Amino acid sequence: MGLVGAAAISGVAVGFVYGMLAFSIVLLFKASGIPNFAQGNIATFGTFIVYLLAARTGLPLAAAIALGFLGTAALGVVIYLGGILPRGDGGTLNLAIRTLAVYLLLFAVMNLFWGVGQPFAFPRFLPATSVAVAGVSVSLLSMVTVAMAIVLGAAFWLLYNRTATGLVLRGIADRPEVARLLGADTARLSGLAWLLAGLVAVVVGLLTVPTALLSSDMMDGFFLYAFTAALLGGMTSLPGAFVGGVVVGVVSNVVTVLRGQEISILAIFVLLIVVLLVRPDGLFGHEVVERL
Amino acid sequence: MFAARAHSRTLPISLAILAALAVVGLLPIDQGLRYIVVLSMSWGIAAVGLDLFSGYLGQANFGQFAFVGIGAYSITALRSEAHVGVVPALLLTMALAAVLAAIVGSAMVRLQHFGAALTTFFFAFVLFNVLGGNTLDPITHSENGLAVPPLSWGPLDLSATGPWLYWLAWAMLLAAVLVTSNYANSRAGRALRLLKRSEPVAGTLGVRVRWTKLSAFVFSAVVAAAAGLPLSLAIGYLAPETFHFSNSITLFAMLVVGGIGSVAGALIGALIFTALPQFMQSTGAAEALLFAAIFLVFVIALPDGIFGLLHRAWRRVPWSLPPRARGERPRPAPRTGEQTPPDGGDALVAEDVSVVFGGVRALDRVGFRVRSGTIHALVGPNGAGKTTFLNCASGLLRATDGRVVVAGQDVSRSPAHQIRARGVSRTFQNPSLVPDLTVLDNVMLGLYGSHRWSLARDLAGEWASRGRQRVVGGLAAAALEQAGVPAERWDVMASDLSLGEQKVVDIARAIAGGSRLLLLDEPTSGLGDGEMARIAGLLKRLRAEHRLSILVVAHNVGFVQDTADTVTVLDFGRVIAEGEPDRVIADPEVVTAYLGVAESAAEVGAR
Repeated sequence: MGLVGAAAISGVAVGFVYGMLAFSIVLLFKASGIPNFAQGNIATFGTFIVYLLAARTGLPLAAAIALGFLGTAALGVVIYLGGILPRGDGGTLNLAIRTLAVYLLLFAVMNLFWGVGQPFAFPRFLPATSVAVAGVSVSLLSMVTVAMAIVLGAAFWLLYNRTATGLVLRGIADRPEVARLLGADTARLSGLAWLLAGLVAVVVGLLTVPTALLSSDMMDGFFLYAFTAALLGGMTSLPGAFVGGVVVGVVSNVVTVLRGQEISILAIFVLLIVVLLVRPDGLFGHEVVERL
Repeated sequence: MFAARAHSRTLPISLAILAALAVVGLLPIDQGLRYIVVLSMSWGIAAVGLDLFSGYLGQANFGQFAFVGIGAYSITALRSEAHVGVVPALLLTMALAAVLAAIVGSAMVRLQHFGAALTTFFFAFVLFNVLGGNTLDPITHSENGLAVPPLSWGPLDLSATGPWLYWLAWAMLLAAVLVTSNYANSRAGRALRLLKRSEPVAGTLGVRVRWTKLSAFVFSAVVAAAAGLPLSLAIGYLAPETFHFSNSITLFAMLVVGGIGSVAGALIGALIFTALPQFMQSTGAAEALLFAAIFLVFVIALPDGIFGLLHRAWRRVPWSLPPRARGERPRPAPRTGEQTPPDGGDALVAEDVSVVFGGVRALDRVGFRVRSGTIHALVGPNGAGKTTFLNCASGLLRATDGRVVVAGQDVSRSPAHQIRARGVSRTFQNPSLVPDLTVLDNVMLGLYGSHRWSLARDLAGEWASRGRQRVVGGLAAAALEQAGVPAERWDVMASDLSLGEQKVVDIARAIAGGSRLLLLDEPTSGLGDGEMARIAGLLKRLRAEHRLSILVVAHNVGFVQDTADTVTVLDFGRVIAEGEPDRVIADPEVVTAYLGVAESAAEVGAR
């Protein structure tokens, strides 16, 4: 195993981070039909909350993280109630553009109020140790990342398959009008999806900052990779999001080692276009038949 | 996809704004303000180009500013490194933008979901990284950036401090507005709005879907690249940060706030976004926050922007005139040379057509013949496969097995626009008129594929395509007359028609191209008795006077008995009966399939 092998392995780990962000994008898309362009900045926003509480108020990190989860979940709900729900019948592209406005809004808030002196070094919460697995050293962060992905995946599988709420969420995803006719309170459930997406976003942010400095534009590249992963996975498949994330992570890491970062970004762009040309519904999606 | 409707003929308003900008240019304003207006005119050029793609075609482009960056860098590098003159540099750069847009676009126009939104956004991200990276370092000088050499053109000083840059930006904005307005109001622009309404419908009317979308994308990219010239001259120094990908979103925000789908709205948005900060004297971050908030409020509360708001206010004013019919009303042209196959020939033959969706056989070896000059009804319960068959015959769906032969030629593998060119046209169950075009414009769309046009002519303006316009307008008027649409309804917006009228106009659009075979999907659904009789009369007239062959999907038994020469009954994808209407409708198997008599009796018995 040379450098490329090590890059591929770390690519799997970072791929799970992309996968988790993609997962939260798919979660929202399924529940509300909206591609959320602000999801990366929601993650950064949550991470900023944790950072400010821990580094500037002296709160213990665990408490700061707990409050970060709370605050970001609330942010998700606020975005939904304030930005998506009012006059929400203007079509999906209108809603997608609203999330772009939210993207700009969150970015501006972070720059204006917290951005002075960025980027910041986030307080260390994981020891920087690594373990040799089959001759390749794997960092503790990578292992925690994969573990978190498994926990998240399992939790959402249970939510979707073992709870009444999950059943209705699936119903909304498949046939929103029918679910509404059957009495599902779609607004409340969509709000719930935004809340859950906020929670997942904080996890993504916290798994990103140990290897990156915290800044308001930290998630820009991440977000595009995650959205690519979501589309590769078919935009509606939760496991597909992780598979897409790992594909993107491995390709980008390996190309970065071989040809540098710039070419690697280009490679992911080409990957996105090629996969969607060959399989327009992604690797795991199914064709949506338009009724004429 | 956008809720906001696109507007026709907004050129006078754009010209009024340009005139106001000319007045500002003549005033003795200070250098700082002049600089701001030049910047905003540069952004305005890019926004106008974006409006064609996003406002008229209704597709998201979140990477338009990347093409401004390509334009600025390419023009500057050609001028300073290759010592090319400014005009050839501009032309070469526009060609480069066209090539890049064609490469990205040819993939993008095939993508579904949010493919276009993400690819354009991603493209801007890639460009930003390339400008700051090492690959193109010899050209872009990476983070060091490029200094823009001052420019003078003859006696005219076009550098940032000179008096003439203002007029260069103004003239380029004027050109962008003229060309984009011509595009939007021409045949090509009507096709874009049809695509926004429905791609399959556009295909069956003869529009080459991907090619048309790609043309619009390339056009908007070329216009944006041209904006790079005044922008680069004004700022004097190019750095990657200037072309940060978030600028593309800001550009989109300008368009939305100004009013998408109106050209003039793009100007309004660009002026407001660049001029306001001057009066606020605020810092960059606070300004960004304010604009993001304004953007969000507009997308939610006023998705058609300031232009839409003014447009609605104007229509409320009591003394405002009703929209006047433009120019001369086209005279109905005499119809000539309709090709009808000889009597007894078959207009359409289905040979063992099967369609399989996953595990479902939507059509199972369906075979029947539509004799030319007859009305042939296709009936059957919901889900029997009637619309699926029409989709096969019109090229929207490929049969898994079997052939569809039209006038002796196998069309099973042909795309929709080619089938249309063979004289087959169809309507859809939901009348698919473009809501923000007039009745006449909609019918002219029916002639899209049947006459030779060129995009270049469309861009040159109405005078260049006037002759053709008159021919096509005449044919459209003739079709409307045949369909019995009174002339006073021709200039009404399609969105203001009743359902019955929409269905008649839809049929007029289908016959406008000189079709031989009409495929009509439930032309009577949702109509009252009077309107249904009107449609029945129209179909019988088309058969008698124009020898058209008609395959009509219908539910109403009375309508079928009244109009059809032959009926084919489908049930679960299979032909279960065929023949004269009276005989077929009395067939016990048909009655069972239709009413589910035996089945429901058994169910009732079981309870």
